Amino acid sequence: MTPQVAENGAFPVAVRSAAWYLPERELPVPGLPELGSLGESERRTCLALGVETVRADDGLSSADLAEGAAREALEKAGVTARDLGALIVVEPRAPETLLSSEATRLQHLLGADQAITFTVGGLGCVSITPALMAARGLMCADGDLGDVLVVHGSKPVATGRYRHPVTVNGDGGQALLLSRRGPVRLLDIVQETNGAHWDLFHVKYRDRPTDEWQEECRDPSTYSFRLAMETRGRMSALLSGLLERNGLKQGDVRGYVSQNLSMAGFTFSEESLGIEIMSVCRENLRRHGHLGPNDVFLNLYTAIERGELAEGDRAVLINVSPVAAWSALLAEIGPQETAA
Amino acid sequence: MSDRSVNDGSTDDGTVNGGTVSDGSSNEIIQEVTDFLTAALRRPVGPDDDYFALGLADSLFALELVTFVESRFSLTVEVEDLDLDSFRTANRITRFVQRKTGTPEFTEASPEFTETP
Repeated sequence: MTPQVAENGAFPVAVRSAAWYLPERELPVPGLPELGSLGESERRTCLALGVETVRADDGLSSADLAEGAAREALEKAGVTARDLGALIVVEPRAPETLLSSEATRLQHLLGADQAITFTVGGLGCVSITPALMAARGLMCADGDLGDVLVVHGSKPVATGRYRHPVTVNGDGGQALLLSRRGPVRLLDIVQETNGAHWDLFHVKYRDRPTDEWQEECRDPSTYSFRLAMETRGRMSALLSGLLERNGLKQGDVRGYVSQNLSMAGFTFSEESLGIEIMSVCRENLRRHGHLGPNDVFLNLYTAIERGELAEGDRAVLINVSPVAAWSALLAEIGPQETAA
Repeated sequence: MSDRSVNDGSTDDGTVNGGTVSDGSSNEIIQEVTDFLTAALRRPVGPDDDYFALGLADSLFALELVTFVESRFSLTVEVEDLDLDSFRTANRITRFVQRKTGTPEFTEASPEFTETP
């Protein structure tokens, strides 16, 4: 089969089905255990982020969350794991054990015996982007390849869920079943990184017990100034470039969704890029906190379910990571009845 | 470009000060910046107050600050300009504005503003 490549060189893929697996247990942010040990300023910042609750279950691993979402996505599409052409796991923030493979663990759990299986990551919540690019590349290179499942289980690395001064992490799994046709077409993706910020946020672990692991910012001023302003410039250029190379203007985009970090983060994106972030993002932030690489598609599908995006609409998914990485994805909504 | 960025050797009232912009021009930039900072941070801000070190600045504030500097002084803050040391205090912002707009460094008439970063 000859791959269908668009005029601009992009090879569109589509999301055939998508699913999320969220733990039932809801944890109110004011009740986070770590709040008691924070200074007054940090505590105030945490409570002002706009996250009211997160889903949390310490009994579920990243693989459990990813598996739950994967099974539902496959079931929705009527696809068996054995028929998958590839299984791409967006790496967990921390593996359960070193040296072992989180990717083949999921392959085994799902029974995706024939799937080309590997892990993609290294870019924080932007890691969903290279995973989609890898899937697109595989499908473009091999016209006979079956559907590709991209999965991620999002859990914080440390015991505490608050990442000062950025967000509160929740638990949640996501699975996207990618195919050549489907109700949500991924038309184009762009991505940039700046390695100068590779360790701006980090968790030291080698010399301390796990209950002392903590998400730390090396330099809060770099985060709130240099990276913020670099994000303004990078994302503006990425967005305009993405639209231009697809022959679109800002008015051709029905909605913008982004990752869910804080209410102020949404305002920053809106003011720095001159766009309006869809209201579902703020609602998902309030209810679920930050789900890493899973945020943008959760927001997109929430908007679709509510009818805020309909057939023919285009949406742009904006992702920014303090690693630092930036990406923008152009999606087009198709007829939703073909989902099953 | 704003009036204040034009290096014509005269002050706003038309007087000439040895071929350079008078300290009044620098002071006016500082005053405008401190007024902005005081309003944005909702507390009095002095010319040498480092609001980043004081933990008063977040990303939204940084965006407002840079947008204010760009629009008020008709300049563009490029990626290579993103040195926090240029934006830590009102005095440093003033020096940055003068550098970007081609106006001279602070004059001897205003020694309180002659420190270098």
